[in-house]
Amino acid sequence: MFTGFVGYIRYLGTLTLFATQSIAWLFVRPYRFPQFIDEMEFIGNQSLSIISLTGLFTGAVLAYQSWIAFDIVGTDSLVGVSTSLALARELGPVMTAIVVTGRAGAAMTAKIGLMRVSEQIDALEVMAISPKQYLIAPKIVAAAIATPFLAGIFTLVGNVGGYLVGVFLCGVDPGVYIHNLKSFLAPWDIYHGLIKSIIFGFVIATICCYKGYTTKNGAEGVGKSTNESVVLGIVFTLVMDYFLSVIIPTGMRSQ
Amino acid sequence: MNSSAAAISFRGVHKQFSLDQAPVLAGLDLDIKQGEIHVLIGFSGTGKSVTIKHALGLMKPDSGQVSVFGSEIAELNDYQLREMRMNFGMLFQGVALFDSLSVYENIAFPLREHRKEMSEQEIRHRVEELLLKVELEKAIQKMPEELSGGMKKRVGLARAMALKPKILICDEPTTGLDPVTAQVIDTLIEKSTREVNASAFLVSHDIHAAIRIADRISMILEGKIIITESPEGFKRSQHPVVLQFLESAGVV
Ligand SMILES: Nc1ncnc2c1ncn2[C@@H]1O[C@H](COP(=O)(O)OP(=O)(O)OP(=O)(O)O)[C@@H](O)[C@H]1O
Ligand SMILES: [Mg+2]
Repeated sequence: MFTGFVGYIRYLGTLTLFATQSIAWLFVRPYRFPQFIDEMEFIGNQSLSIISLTGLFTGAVLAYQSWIAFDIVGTDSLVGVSTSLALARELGPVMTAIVVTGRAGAAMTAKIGLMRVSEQIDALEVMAISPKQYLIAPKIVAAAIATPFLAGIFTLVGNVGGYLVGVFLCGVDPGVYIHNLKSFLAPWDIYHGLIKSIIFGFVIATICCYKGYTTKNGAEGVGKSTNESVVLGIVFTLVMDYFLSVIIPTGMRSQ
Repeated sequence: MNSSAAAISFRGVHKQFSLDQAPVLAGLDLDIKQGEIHVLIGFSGTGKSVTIKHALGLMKPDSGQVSVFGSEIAELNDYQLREMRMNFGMLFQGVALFDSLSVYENIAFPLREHRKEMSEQEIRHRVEELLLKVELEKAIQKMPEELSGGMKKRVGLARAMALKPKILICDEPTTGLDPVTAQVIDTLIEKSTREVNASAFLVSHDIHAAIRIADRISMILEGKIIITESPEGFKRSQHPVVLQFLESAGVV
């Protein structure tokens, strides 16, 4: 994929250029609003059930896991806030990004890649239609907008899962669960997760579109670039997550 | 735009894909005049499709110039390149229909993009008219994957002609068609080109059809054009490779 540090930096540069060129097309007529709506439908709407399902179980296991730890020191009243903090700041954005990569991102690469190897992208160009404007930009923008919404839903449903397990399985007092959650979860924890999600969505879509756009060598090449885009998408998500977690302000929290 | 200039002109075009292979185009010179039907023939893998892609600006020459109506493609900015491409209707060798769109939507696509003033009814009218010409009016609601290779070709041709292009480029429009349908398609290309005094640049293996409809025929070999002649001149050529080509097709 890339060799050494210089190759890595160059790759980042190429991706940045690709994203910038595509985004620049947003400001050129005709505006691709119908394509954008289609992508929102595909990336956002069609991901709702899988996001809810994975969110529910992630919240449930988080609550259970933190209850095991808190119960040792007798502070199981903190199960709720611990669960929702982890969901809002880390697991919501990260898990959502991974689901979006695997579901929507892989499909983007495969579709664009197939269009590339079957000359459909050339056909667009010959028809004086910019593939970056028609195909790429709507996907990148839709992903950057849909991913935070999905992460929000993931976090919300995750909290429901956490509550169910915490209260009904582990026996945490429901009033205490909610009270602690309310008093310790700060708005910035939510913003933190949402900002990360916007960036994840943007970067994942850029990677997946780029991989599709530069596909070579027929059906085999489509398989290869789809595979690479999923791997890269997940790796980028996890690495970026660390840096973003450190950079984005935590906000004031009453200790 | 220079009106006396050739529709497409290639000057000393070189193109090499990898260093360990011979160049595909090695100083190719060719003019497609305005209003003519020009057929390019040549053995498989000699760079016919590559030549066409240079005319469309899909590939860039390593050296040499490709001009369309007198303006060199390499010197155009993005905007001018799009304007330039508005002159073209293109049928790819692999057709490249949009496989997520129906036959109707494929042909309507260029109209929807570039003829915003057309109403839905006018678009439907134009699409039906085109499908009638390629004898596919029954396939209007089909998806590309439901079509045979030859049917795809014909839909691709209808799409290429949708905007009544000044230059129609077809990469093997009749390969894979039965002789009867092939003749219908050749005649259609000829008629629709002559009707509006457009130019056509065709790649074909069908030397009989080339002789019937072409104004001029060129042959490419080892990256160069070895002959450009009228059909009559082409038939009389004494070039050994041309002779070989003509003999195997049973022309002489
Ligand atoms: N994108 C590309 N990358 C590398 N090599 C290429 C590329 N496109 C074409 N070639 C090479 O260029 C040569 C000419 O290919 P081209 O498709 O132009 O042949 P052709 O004359 O159209 O043949 P056919 O009649 O079989 O369609 C071939 O050797 C091919 O391998
Ligand atoms: Mg070819």
